[in-house]
Amino acid sequence: MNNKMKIIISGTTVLLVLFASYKLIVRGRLVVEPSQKQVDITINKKEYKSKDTFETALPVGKYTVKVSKEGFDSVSKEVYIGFNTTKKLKVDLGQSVEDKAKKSILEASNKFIETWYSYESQTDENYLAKIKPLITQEYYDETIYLVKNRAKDFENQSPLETKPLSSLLEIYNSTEAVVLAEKESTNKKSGLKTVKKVSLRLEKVNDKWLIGYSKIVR
Amino acid sequence: MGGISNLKNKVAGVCCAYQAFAALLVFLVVVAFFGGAAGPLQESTGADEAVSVDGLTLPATSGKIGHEDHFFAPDETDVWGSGSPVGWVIGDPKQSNCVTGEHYVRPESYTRGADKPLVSAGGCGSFGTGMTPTQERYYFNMRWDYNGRKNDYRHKKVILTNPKNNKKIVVSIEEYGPAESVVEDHGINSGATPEVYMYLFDAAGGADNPYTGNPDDQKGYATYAFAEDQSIKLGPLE
Repeated sequence: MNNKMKIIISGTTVLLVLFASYKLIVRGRLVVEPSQKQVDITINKKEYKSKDTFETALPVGKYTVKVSKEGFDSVSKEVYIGFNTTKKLKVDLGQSVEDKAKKSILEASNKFIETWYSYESQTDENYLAKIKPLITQEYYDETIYLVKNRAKDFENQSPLETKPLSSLLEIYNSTEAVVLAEKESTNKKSGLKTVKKVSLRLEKVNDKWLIGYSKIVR
Repeated sequence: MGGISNLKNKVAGVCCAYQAFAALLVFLVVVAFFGGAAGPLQESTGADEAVSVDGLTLPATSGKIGHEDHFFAPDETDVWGSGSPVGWVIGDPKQSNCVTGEHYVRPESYTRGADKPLVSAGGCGSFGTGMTPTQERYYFNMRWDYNGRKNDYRHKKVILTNPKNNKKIVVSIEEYGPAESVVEDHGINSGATPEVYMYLFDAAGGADNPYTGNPDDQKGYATYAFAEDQSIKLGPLE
């Protein structure tokens, strides 16, 4: 082996040692504090399971940290880990997908009750335009059918003002739900106030909860 | 001789016991087969009621029945000029094709315009064309929760019962309604033709007129259930 080769090999070895030392020595720490327990954490595509708070040492650099848990939307964050520093990352997974859906269902139900039962006349164009985005196409078609073909049903209709009082989610799955709600309506002609229960069936259509059916129950 | 006489008596006694036993056996068989020795044998009306058929349910199992009109009315302007006194023959191109299959007999509820032809009174109902005259005659509507199964509801038979007089009638699902304002204002959650409500309530309106403005007064009140046997004949169950 000549001297030239010895220099190249020694130089390469020194560089490798320096690189390894840099990776091993020049590091910082990452602490992930998720809002939920038993989460999956991915750091630049490397996956970890974490029961609670997660802590690891990482070489200095930029990382993408993804925290996920079944039933929740995943959260991704970019972090920079500096030399000899500890980066704390608080990750709020928010409400579970189910909790969010339930909230949306009850909001859709309340909006429907307020809109559907508040009118001067249920045959008004404005009224029909207001209810259209809240209900399924099938339900809207039947509503329009009634308006066009059963004029007698709407004769002497009293104007109504309604507010939802309570709503209870009775049945839920990812595509369908049933809500039992209570409403208070004021007859704008007579001033009479009535409280009635309404049963609603909702469907998830294009990621939106729509009313597929409603009926007054006793 | 006395011995022979005793033997005869013994044989006669045994025979009588056998006869009595056989008669008892026949009696028990009759009881087992016909459910009791007393009373006339009842013929089944096939009118068993069901909460659901084919997975379909009714929106309610009782309520006030609204007064619906037929899909046809006497044409008092006589625009067709046919002047038919008893209705019209299916297939007449001048008439509606809501109803198919047989001659449409003028409903007895039409006391006016008897000399006028019947014409469509503004459509064939929510389900469109394709009902028989008998289905039209005894049509029934509620605010069906189709849930994507609209066609399955059509023509399903429902038994209506007036609990006050126990009159029953078999009706056919052919329409959607009433509007919710009718439910809200009067508590009416269904509707049927004059043939239906006049039979159930013995009157066209009067004491059982459901349009009272009081949802809780039970005027025109009946119970609803699917007919378990969907091949049952439409009309009153006598």
